[in-house]
Amino acid sequence: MMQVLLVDDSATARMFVRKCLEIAGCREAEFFEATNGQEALTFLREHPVDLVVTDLTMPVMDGQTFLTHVMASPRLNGIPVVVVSSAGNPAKEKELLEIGAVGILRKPVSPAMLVDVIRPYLPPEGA
Amino acid sequence: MQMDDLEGVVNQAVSETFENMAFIEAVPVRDSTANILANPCHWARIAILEPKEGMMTLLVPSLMALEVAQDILTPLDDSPDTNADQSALDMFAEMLNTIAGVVMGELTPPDQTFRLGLPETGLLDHLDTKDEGRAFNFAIEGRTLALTVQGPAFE
Repeated sequence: MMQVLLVDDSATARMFVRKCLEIAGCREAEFFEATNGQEALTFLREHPVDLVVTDLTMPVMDGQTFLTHVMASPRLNGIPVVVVSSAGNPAKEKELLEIGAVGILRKPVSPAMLVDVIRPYLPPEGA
Repeated sequence: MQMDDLEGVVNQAVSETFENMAFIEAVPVRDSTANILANPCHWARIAILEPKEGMMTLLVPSLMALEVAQDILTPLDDSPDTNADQSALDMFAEMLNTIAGVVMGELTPPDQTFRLGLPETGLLDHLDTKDEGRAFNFAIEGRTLALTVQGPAFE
């Protein structure tokens, strides 16, 4: 079963992203949640997942710092990380992709937007 | 900035956000914001930090806030111990965060970046209502909420 970690300080945002992911192809996935980058990092070190979707602006540890830590870890840097943010700008997006994010999506996210980004990471149908 | 340019950007951002996040329609209306403020309100507020400072505030009559939040969140959240007020505030904070990002994405020149603060929320008696700036009102499911913007970021 595919395992997905949602990282956002807003419970509503996590719910919305989860709903969009379920519609986009993750209906059978197991979802985990974290409220900031530090919490997510602590979780991943014990429990690597198949996909991470993270917000950018969060207290304690923001999404960019979290992404940097994930990419710096030999054990975690194979996990695809999608960044979803309201604070989009081309320079920041380029920076995040260079760090290693597999996709950058601007809020409000829709299932169609997510499908394009997560399709390579979905399990084969029937798996 | 021309008032009608800002109005167009705000209307589009609010409409798009409510449609994509909540699958409901937000229709611009000409109601007086004072009518909204005459009732107890849930509010969410977010600071614009760069390139210029500003503030964006979402004001939702409390009864409307709780009912709309319940309509939107109930299909998504099956956890039994949910504080209705906190859930509504969190939902509107996230919506405001999204609206602010869309608005600032449109207003910010391509060679500049924008930065938002973290949303704050609360009830009307904790909000300074002396200067709400420019107000834009929207009807959602027959009831009206207000979005206000103030500061150099919107001038």
